[in-house]
Amino acid sequence: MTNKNRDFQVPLVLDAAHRRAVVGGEPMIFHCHHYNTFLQQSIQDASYVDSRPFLVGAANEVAYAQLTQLYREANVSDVAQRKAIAEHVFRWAGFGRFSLEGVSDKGGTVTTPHSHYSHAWKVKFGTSAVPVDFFTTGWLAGALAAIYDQPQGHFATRQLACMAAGAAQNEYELAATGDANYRVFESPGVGPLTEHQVRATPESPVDYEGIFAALSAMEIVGDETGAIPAFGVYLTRHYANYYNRISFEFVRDLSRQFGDEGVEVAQPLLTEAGHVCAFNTFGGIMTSTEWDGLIKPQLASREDWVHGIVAAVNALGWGRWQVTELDAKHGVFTVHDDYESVGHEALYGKASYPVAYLAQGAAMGIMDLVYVGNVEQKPEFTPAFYDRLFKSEHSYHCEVVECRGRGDAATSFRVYQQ
Amino acid sequence: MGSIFGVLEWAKREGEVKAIARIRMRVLGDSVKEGVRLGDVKPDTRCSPQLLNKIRVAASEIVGKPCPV
Repeated sequence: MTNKNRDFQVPLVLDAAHRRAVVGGEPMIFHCHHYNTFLQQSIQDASYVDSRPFLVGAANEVAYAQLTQLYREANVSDVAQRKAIAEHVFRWAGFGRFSLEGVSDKGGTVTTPHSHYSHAWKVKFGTSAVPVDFFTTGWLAGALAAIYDQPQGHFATRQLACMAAGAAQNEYELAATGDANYRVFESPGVGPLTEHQVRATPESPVDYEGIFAALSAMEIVGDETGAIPAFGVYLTRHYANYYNRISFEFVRDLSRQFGDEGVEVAQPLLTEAGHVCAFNTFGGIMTSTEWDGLIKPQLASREDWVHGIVAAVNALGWGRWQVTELDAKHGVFTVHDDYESVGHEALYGKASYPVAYLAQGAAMGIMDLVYVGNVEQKPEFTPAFYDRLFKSEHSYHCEVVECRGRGDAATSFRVYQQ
Repeated sequence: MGSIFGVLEWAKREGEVKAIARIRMRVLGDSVKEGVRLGDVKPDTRCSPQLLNKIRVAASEIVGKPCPV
C-alpha cells in the first residue's frame, strides 16, 4: 500500500437534521453485502438491459466527484498522496483494499485479493460464471481521473479476473484512452433536502436521539483488508448516489422498453432487496451485544422493539425514520428525506410512481422480524428462516401512503397484515 | 407438456421468496412479445412452446434444480 495515508482522516460530516453523513460532497449510507449483491443480481437478471455501462459508470461518477472534492478541500496535489487518500477512502468504506502504486497517468493494472463485491457474491451466491465487481472497476476509473486531474471518462476500465469467478485475486485494467467504455454521469451531490417537522409518534421509552448519537459515534470502518464484518454481515459505507443511479437507470431502461409493465416488474425485486437487507442487517443488529447493551434495556414491549430498530436506522444515513402508528396488525413508517426520493429528484426530477423501494422492504422486514420472527429470541438468520418468515401467511404487506419522490412532503408507508 | 401455471407454482413452492419476480424479470422481453403477463397467470394461460421453455429454464436456474413440470 502507498505509505502517505497515515495522517489522513476521512472528513465525515454528520447532518443530524437530515440524518445524513457526507464525505467529499457524497452522501454515504450503510448497506450490507446481502443488499449489494441482491440488488446487482436483480439488475443482471434482465439480460436484455445493457447494465454494465451504468453499473461501472455510477461507481466512476461517485469516486470522481468525491475524490475531486476531497483533494480540493485538503489542498492535495501530490500524486502519491492522492493515491494514498483514494486507497484509504476505499478501505475505510469497506469496499476492499488495493494499491495504486502500479498505475500512472497512462493507466495500468490493479490487483487485489480483497474486494467486497467479489467476496460477497461468492459468500451469498457461490461461484459466478463471469466477473461481478463492476463497482471497483468503475471506482478505479473515477479515482484515477481525479488523481491525475483528468475529466471523467478519461480512463477506460475493465475487470480481467474475479475471485467470484474462481480467480485467486481480482485484476482490473485501466487505460488512458480518453474514451470511456461506460456511461459518464455527473454526481448530484447531496441533493435537495427538506426543512421538515418531526411527526408525532406513539409514546415509547425509546430514546431516539440518544440511540442516534451513540450509533453515529461508533467507529464502523474497514479493517486491514478493507472489510467491515459487523452484526453478522459485511457492511459497506456506500454511496447513496450509486444505489440511486443504478436502480433508477435500471427502472428507466425497463420503462423505455416495456412501459408500465417494466416498472411493475422491477418494483418487487427492488423492494425485496430492502427486505433482504432488513432481515440480515436489522436482524443482526437486534441480536447483537451492542443492542443488548444500548437499546434493549429501554424496551418493554414488541412495539418498543420496532421503535428501537427505527431509532437505529436513523444512524444509517437513510434519512429521518419514524414510526407514527403502531400495533401488531399495522405500522405507519414515515421517512423525511429518504435517500431514494432525494436521489430521484436530484437525478431525474419528480417521479410518476413511488421510488422508495428499499425503504418499503426495510419497513416490512422490521415488522416481520418483530411480530412474526420473534427476533427477541435471537434466531439464526439463515436462508431457511428467511423463507419460512417471508413465505408465512402472517408476513406483512406494504402500501405507499405518500412518496417524496413523487412530490409529497415526505415518504410514508402503511405496513399491514392481511 | 406442462403449463406456465404449473412451472410457476413449482417455482413458488420450491424457490426463494421472490422466485416468480425473478423469473418474470428474466423472460420479460419474450413474455411481452406474446402478451403474457407472468404476474397474472391462471391455470389456463397458454403461450408458445419457446416461451414455456424459457420460463422453465429460468425457473430451474433460479430454484437451483431441474423443473419437473
